[in-house]
Amino acid sequence: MAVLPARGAVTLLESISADALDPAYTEAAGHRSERPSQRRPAALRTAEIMLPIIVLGLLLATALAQTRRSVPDLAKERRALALRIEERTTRTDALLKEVELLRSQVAAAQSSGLSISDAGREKARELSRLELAAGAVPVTGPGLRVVVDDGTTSAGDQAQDGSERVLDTDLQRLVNGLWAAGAEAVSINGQRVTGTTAIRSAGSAITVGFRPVGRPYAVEAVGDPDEIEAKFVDGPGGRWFRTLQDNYGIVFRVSGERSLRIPAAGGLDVRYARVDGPQ
Amino acid sequence: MIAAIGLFIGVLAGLLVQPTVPLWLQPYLPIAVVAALDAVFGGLRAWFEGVFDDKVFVVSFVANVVIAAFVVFLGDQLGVGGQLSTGVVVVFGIRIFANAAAIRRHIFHA
Repeated sequence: MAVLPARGAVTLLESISADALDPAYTEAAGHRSERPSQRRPAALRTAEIMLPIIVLGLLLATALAQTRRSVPDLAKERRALALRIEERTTRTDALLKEVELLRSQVAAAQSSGLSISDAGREKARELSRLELAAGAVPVTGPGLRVVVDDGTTSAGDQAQDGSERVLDTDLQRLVNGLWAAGAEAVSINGQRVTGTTAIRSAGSAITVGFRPVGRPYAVEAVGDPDEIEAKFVDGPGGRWFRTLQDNYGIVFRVSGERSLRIPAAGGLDVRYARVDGPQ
Repeated sequence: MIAAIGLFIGVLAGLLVQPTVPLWLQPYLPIAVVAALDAVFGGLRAWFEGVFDDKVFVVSFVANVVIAAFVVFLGDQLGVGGQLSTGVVVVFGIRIFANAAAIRRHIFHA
């Protein structure tokens, strides 16, 4: 006896629910009623019921355990990563302090060695000028402080699509604008920016000299106090950020400062260039 | 009765042994579970309707699990694994609900 799909089962979904009971069951029942003598041993029949049910229980328990196990694993991994980042950052900070200390020792030895002769004193003056320009020494002086931060959209945190965030390219424009306005030394969140410092994004964070900086971004620049502010605000950097402020709600504050302290740069390695000529 | 005992044994064994599923099998495990559930609900309904057959039960169980996993595997190879597993879950879900409703009618006569 063949069992046809239920009448009136027009659509696919209807036929699925109409045929929910496997037609094979009714078919097998029909066979049995035709030849009732053919019955198999009871033990086999019990096993045939038990086995699939045991397998189902096994599958259920395994799938459950699997799902529950993978959730804390992810959180654990994340914590471990965060811990490692913090650890490395503190280690980098300590090493930078050491670099600064050793550098000041080198500078002291250098100046005492150079002060012996007139030619040495001349060299020392040249050296200090170059060090200042290269960012090898901490500097103080009057200048400008620019604070920028991600904007908040009026709809709240949910509606953020990333357009109100400060990007690495924005910070690059900001720093370039400051250089163009005559800045002599620049730092972002207390990190010196030199001609070789990279400002780039790593994931959703911004790194300066390969070290992460958090928002808000405080960019400080030492320069001529009478000129730098006006030059910057009317220059390309200031114009760019005013556009961002108007269109994306990005926070942009400029203030003149009487005295700023900008630290020395961390890494000043020249990797490939060599001094030309006889030494 | 034997079904309840079997389920108990299976869950207990699974929780005690905690078998680790190899990575390549992991996407197919939930699908296999849903397919197995469908076969069991179908068998239960057949039991209540007096047409239960153990051979059909075993065959439908194994075939359900294997075919469901295979369909999803095929989908993975074609790049539509996620959509196909959704489809499999929808179809089995409808069948499970229909069978559960039939079982409910048999138990409560409502």
